[in-house]
Amino acid sequence: MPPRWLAAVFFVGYLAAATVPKGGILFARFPIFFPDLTPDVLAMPAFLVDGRPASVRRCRDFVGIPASAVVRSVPDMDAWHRFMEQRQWIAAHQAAPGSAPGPARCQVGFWIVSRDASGRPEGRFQASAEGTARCR
Amino acid sequence: MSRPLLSRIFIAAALAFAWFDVSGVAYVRGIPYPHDLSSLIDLSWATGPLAFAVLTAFYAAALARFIAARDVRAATAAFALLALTAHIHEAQWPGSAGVRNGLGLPGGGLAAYLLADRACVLFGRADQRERWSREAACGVAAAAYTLAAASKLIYGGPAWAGGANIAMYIASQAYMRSAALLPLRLWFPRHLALCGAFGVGTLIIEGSGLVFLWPRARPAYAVLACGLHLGIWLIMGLVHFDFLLMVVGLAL
Repeated sequence: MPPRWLAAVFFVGYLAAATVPKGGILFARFPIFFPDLTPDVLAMPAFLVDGRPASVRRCRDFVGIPASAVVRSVPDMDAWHRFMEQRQWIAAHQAAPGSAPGPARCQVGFWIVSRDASGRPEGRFQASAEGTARCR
Repeated sequence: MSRPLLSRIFIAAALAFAWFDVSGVAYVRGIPYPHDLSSLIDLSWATGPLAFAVLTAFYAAALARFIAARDVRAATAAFALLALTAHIHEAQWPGSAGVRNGLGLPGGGLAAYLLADRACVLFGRADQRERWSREAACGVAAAAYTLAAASKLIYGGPAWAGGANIAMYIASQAYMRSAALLPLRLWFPRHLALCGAFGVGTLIIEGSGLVFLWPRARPAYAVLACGLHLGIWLIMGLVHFDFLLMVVGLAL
């Protein structure tokens, strides 16, 4: 049997690795995930295929949707990486010049959420660009 | 199938899911190199679709070897590959710090697993390697959940679990994922009491991570953690299957 204290030693070691060096070390970061309180208005990047939300990674060969359309110009939840990932993907998967547009109608924009008078969230989609792509 | 083998299958599955978290390096064009090691060593050879496909093949082979033969060298290779891509991912998107930290349990757990294995050999207890390694990883699992709760309480305060706050979290994620569960993800945040219960439940389960130090409590905690992760996936679309599979694998 392993000694009873072994798990406790690694418990303390991991806590120390995550908290003693500023920001922790690889695989041991603190804070973990997003702990802040949400603001009253926030926006997340959104991507629609034929009017329905979808992962941008389903689509390639974008026409009419430049990477610059993914901009962070409204209040958000500090989800900077999501904007960057979506922008990187769209930039890396533009259609070749002169190629035929894909069959799927795509919209890129924001899902903007605010609180109503009772404190409940209300969301609306705001498009920043529309175009086509080939999606699976 | 023996319990240690089943446990290794779950741990390897957790590490496979963790690989998805770093898959962004497949479509990176150039790295800004903001800090750390990457400012000194050019790691761009490890980015792009072809490099990522090769790294993925090595990673999959290492995990398969780890499952089949408990080959510690294969597990070490898998850890090195995960650490390399995770580092590049962090360098590429420093703004994602605090989000992608879901890699902590699979990556940190594997590091503990390997460290305890070496310690076991060093102390002349080679016949106990599997048990020592799993015990060490359990310590990391307990710490990872405790830290997740501590983050929320220290940076957000008790108000983090309030219904209005959780409702905003859920509503903000509604359009980020597949359309299939969109109706549920729009309905849930309209009910602040439900959201508050969800937030308090999350804090209680994560904050109870310490109980994972006790072997007898591990199966029960794994069930609670599975409920938490499946609930987060259903309601918010946030996938933490690497955590879920790791905690189940360690509880076996």
